[in-house]
Amino acid sequence: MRVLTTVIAIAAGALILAGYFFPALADVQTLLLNWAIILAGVVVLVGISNLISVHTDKISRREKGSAYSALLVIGLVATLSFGMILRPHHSTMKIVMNGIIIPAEASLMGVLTISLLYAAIRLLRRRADLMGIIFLSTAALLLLGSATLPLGDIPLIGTLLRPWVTQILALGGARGILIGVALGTLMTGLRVLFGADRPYGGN
Amino acid sequence: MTSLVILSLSGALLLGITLWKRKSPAMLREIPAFTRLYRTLGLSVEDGTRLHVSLGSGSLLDTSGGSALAGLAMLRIIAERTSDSDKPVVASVGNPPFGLLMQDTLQAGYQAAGADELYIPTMGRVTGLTPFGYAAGAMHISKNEEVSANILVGHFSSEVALLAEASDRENEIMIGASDNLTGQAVLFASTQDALIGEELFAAGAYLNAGASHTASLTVQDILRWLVIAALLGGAFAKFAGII
Amino acid sequence: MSDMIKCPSCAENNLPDQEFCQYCQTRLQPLTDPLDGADAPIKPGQAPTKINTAELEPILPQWLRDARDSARKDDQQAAQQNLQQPSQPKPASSAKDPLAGLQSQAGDEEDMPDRLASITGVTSKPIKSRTESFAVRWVELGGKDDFAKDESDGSSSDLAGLKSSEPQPDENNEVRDWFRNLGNPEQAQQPEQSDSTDSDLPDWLTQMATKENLQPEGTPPDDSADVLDNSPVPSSDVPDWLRVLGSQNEKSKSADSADHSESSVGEPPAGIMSEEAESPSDSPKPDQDKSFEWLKSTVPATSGEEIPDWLSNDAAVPPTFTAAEDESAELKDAQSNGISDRSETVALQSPIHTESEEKSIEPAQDADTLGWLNTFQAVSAYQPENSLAQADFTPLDFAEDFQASDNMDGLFTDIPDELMSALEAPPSSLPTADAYSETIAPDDQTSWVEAMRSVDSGISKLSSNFPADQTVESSGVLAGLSGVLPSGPGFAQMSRPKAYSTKLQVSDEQQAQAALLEQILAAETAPVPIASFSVLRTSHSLRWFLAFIVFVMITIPLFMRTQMFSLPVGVPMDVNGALQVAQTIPESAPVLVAFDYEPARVGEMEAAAAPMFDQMILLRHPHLTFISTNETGAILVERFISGPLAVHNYQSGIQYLNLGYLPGGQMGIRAFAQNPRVTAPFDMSFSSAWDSIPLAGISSLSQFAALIVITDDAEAARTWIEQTESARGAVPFVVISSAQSAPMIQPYYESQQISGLVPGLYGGALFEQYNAGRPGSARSYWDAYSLGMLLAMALVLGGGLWNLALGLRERVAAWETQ
Repeated sequence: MRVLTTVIAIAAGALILAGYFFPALADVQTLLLNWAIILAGVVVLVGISNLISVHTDKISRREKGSAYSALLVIGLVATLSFGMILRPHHSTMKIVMNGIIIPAEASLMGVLTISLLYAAIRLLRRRADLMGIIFLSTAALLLLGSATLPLGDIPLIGTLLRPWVTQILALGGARGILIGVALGTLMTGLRVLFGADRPYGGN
Repeated sequence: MTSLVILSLSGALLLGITLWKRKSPAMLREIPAFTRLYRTLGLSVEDGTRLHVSLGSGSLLDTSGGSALAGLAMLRIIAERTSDSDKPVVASVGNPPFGLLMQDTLQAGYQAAGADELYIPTMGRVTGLTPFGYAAGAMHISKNEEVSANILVGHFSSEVALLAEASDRENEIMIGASDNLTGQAVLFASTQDALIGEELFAAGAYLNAGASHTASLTVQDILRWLVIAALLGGAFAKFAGII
Repeated sequence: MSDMIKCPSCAENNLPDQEFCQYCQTRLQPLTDPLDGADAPIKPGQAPTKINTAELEPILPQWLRDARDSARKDDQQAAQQNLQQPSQPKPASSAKDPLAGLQSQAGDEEDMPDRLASITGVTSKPIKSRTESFAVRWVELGGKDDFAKDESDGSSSDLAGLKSSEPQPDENNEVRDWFRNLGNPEQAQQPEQSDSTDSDLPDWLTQMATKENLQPEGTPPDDSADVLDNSPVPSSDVPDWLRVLGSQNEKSKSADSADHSESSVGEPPAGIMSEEAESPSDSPKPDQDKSFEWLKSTVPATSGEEIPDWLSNDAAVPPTFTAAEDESAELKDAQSNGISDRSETVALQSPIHTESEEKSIEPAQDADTLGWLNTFQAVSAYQPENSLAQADFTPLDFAEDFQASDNMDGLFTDIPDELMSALEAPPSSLPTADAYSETIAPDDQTSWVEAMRSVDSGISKLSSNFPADQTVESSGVLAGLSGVLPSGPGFAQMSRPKAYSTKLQVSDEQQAQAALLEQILAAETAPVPIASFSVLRTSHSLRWFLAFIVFVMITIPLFMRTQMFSLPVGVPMDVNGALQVAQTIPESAPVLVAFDYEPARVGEMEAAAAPMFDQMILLRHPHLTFISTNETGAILVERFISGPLAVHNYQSGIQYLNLGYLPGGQMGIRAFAQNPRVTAPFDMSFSSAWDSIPLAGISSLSQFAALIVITDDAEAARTWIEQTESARGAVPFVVISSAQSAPMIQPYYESQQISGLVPGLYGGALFEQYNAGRPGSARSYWDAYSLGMLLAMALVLGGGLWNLALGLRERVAAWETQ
C-alpha cells in the first residue's frame, strides 16, 4: 500500500511538472490540477471535522479550557448552519460577520500590536548584539518615516531615508532571503518528487 | 527552457550528492537554534513534558507548502524520538490538507519507534482555517497542555507574534522558522534563536533525517552561487550595455 | 482394584494391562525394562556393589584390552624371571632395603598401597598385573609379602582398602595396639592377648613385642631399643639394616646412660621402619643391596644369610658432634610435632656417642662402600663435647642378630660432622638421648637418604675446615643453625643494604608532562557543561503599560476626531498609476476584484481600498466581480459593499457579482485564469454567474477592463500577478496592499508587471486627497495612525535602550561572578 501511494504521488508530480515543459501533457496537467482543486475544497471539510473531533474529545474529558471548546463547537455549527441555509449575503450572516468574526480577529490584531511592541522593546535585552541594534534602529526609522507631523511629512526621514531603506536596503535583503527560500522550496519539492521524503502513507 | 535546465541540474545534483553523502558524514555549521532544539528534545523527555510543533498556515498548493513540508520532515524525527515520552508531541496546523499529512507523519514516527500503539490521532490538530484563527487555536496549547517548548517551522506571518507571546507568558522555549519575511522579523524579535531564510529547510539535515536532506543543503549552496554569479554577471552586463 | 494402575497425569485408575491411559492417553507402561538385579537403581545409603573388574573386561575398548594383555604378559615374564633367580635367604635382620617396597609393582592392578591396607586393617587385594603401561605405579614401602592381601576379593579398586565407609573396629584396635605397644612394653609382652586380627600385624613386630616382654626388669624403657631388640621377627622378615641397628643399640646401651626422650620422637621413623620391615618379601634390587652393605657388616651371619658388604666392614660409627642449642630446640619441636619426614629427622638427629666411643675414622677399604658411607666416616671425626652427646643411644632393635653385632657400636660412635656441632651445644638445648634413640644411623640410610645427605656431607666437609666456628646463627635466613659457612671477603654484606626510595624519581619536565596528561585524561571523562539557555522572564507590567498607553493614545484622537496631523502630500508613482487606472476605465466596464485579506486587517484594507473604489464607482460605474481565495473573502466582500460603498447602493447580480471562494490557492488562480467559466460557474446564490449582467459577454480574463487585487499578503499578490500574467494580457493590474507587504510588491510595479500600487492607509490617504476627501475614513484614522507611529517609535527606542542597559548590566554582573 505504501508503495502504491508513493507511485501515485511521484507519477502525479512528474506529470504536472512535465506539463509545463511539454504541451502534449498540458491536458493531463489541467486534469490533475482540477482534481487537486476539488480535493483541496473537500479537505477543508476534513479539517473542520478534525477541529470538531479534537474539541469534542476535550469536552468529553473535561480538560482545562473545555468550556471554550464547547463554545467553539457551538459557534461552528451555528455559523455553518446559517451559512448553508441563509446564504452569506443574508443579514444574519452579516451580523455574525460584523459582530463576531471581524471583532474577534481585529482584537487579535490589536493584541498583536502590543506583542510586537513588547518584543521590540525587549529585543536588546534578549540579544544585545549588532544585529539587534540595527534591527531596532531600522524599525524606529521606518516608524518615524511613516508618520507625519502636524506640519507635514518629516523632512529627510519621511521623504528620502524611509523610501531608500525600504526599497533598497530592506528589499535587497528580502530578495536574497526569498531566493534562498525559493531554492529550499525547490529542493523540498524535488525530494518529494523523487520519493526521498514521503509525508504520506506512513514510514 | 531555462527552468527545465535548472530543474534537471538540480535533480541530477540532488541524486548524485545523496548517494555520495551516504558514505561520508555531513559537516554542518553550528546553528544555535538546532543545538537548542537537540537539548530541548532530551529535556522534554526527561521532564515528562510535551513538545508543541506547529506547521503554520501554509497551503499545500502554493509555494508556502515547501516550508510546511520541511516542517513535516522535522515533525517525523521529533515524533520518533519523543515517542517514549510521558507526554507525546502535539502538532498543530492552519491548513486542512497539511492536517492530514501531519497525522500521517505522526503515525509514521511512532511506527518507526515501534510504539504504534501510543499514537493518538487527536495529537495532530487543525486549530483554524485562517492565520489568526489558527494562531488563536494554537495559543491555548502552550497554556493548557504542559508544553515545555514550542517548535514553529512552516509558513507564519505576523500572527506568530501571538504564539510567541503565549510561549513567553508560560516561560517556554520557542524555536521558530518561517519562509515569510514578516514572520521572520517577528520571530527575530520574539525568540532567542530564530532561523532566518532557508535555515528552516536545514532542519531535516540537522536532525539526521537522511542523506537526501544533507544533499539538499549542498545543492542549495551550489545553486545559490550560480544565482549570485548570474545576478552579478547580469548586473555587470546591464551596466556595460551588453544586454 | 489393587491391581489398577493410577495415571500419573490425571490420577485416574486404569487396568494393569493398559499401555495408555484411557482418559488422557498418557503412557502408563514404561518403554524400557524395569531395573532389577544388577540394573536396579542405587538407593541412597546403599553401599555400591562390588564388581569383579575382570568381568568388565569384555566391555572395555579394544585398545585398552590390548594394553592390559601386554602388561599382563610382561608381568608374567617378570614373575618367571624372579622365580628362576636363586632364592636369597632373608635373615631376620636381613639387610633389607627398608624401601624395598618402594618399587613400582608392575602388573599390580591393586592401586591401594599395602601400607594403607595395613593401616586401615583392610586386607589389600591381590596384586594383578596392570593392563595399561601408563597407569599409576604405586610406590609401597616394603615387600609384597609384608602386607596381607585378600586374594578372594577381586576388586581392583585402588581404594578398595578404603572402600568401607564404616570403620572396622578390630583392625583399628590392632593399629592402636601396635602403636601403643611401642610405648608400653608391658603391653607388648602379651602378644597373645591381641585381637584375633593379630595376623595382620607383621611378625617382626610381634616378635619385638615378645622380646620386650622378655627383657629384664630395670631396663630403662627404651622404645626404640625394644623395637630393635625385642622383636621376635624372624630374620627373614627384618631388614638387615634394622638388625644392625639393633646390635649397635645394645652396645650403646651398655656404655651410655640412658636418657631417652619420649618415644614419640622415634615413632614416625619407627613406624615407617616398621612398615618397611613388613615387606621383606620384596626381592631387593641390586642397587639397593649396595646401600645396605653397612648393615650387613654389623649383622652376624647366624642364619647364613648374606651379609651386606656395608655391614661386614668395620663400619665407622657415626661420629658424634655437638648439637647446637637451637638445633636442640628444633629437635624438641620436631619431637612434639611428630615430624614424619625421615630425612629431616635424620638430618637433625644422629646417634649420640660418648667420647669414649670415639673412634678414628677409618677410610672405607671396601670398594663397594658407597660414598655416603665415607661421608659418615669423615663426619665421625666430630666428637660431641656435651655430655648429652654421650648419652646412651640405643639403636632400634629389630632382630636378635642385630643385637649381637659388635659392629653396631661403630655406627653410633662415629658421629657425622653436622651432628657434631649440634652436640656441642649446651646440654639444655640438646635433645635427649631419646631423641636419637630411634633415629637411623647415618650408615643405615638408604640410597635416597644418601642423596639427601650428600648435601650435608658437603657442608660437613666445609665446616670441618673451621673447627673453631661453632657459633649459631642468630639472624638471617640461617638463624638457629650452626656450622654455617662463614662469609668470606666479597660475600658478606659489609654494610647495610642501601635503602632505595619507593618514590619515582622524575624531573620537573616529566612532572609537568604527567600533569598535562592527567588533565587530558580528566577532560575526557569530565562532562562538558552545556551552556544553559536563559529564558527572559516575561513582564506583565510592561505589557499592561504598553496596552494602556497605546489604547489611550489611539482612542483619544479617534473619539475626538482630531485632525492635527497633516496628510501626506507627495503622490508616489505607484499610487499615481492606480489613480490613473481608476479614472481611465471605460464606463460600466467589468472589473475583476480579488479579495485576499484576512478579517483582522479589515480596518486597514477597507481604509486603503475604499477611496479608489469610491472614485471609480463615482466616475465610471464599473460592474464589479468579486472573487476570493480565502474562506472569509466572500463575507468581506459583502461587508465592503454594504459598508464604505453603501452610499452607492450596489446590488448583487446587477452592479456587482460575488463569485465566492476559489479553492486551490495558486492552482485555483491558475485554473481560473485559464478558464474562469469552468472554474467558477456559480455565484454566492448558486445562480449561473456568467449569464448575469456583470459578467455578460465575458469568457476570459483579458475581457475585463481591470484587475484589482486587495490583499495583505505579498505572496497572494505575487500569485495573482504571476498566474494571470499570460491570461490577462494588457489588462491593467492594480494591487491594493497593506503597509507591511507594499515593499515586496513594489518591484512588480517597477518591473511594470502591475499598473499601480496603493500601500495601505498611506496610499488610501493620498487617494482620498484626489477624491475630494471621500469617504473620509483615511482622514479619520490618520491622526491616530500618526500618533501611534510616533508613540511606537518612542517606545521602541526608549525601551530598547533601557533594556539594553539592563542587559549589559546583567552580563557584567555575570562576568564578574565567573
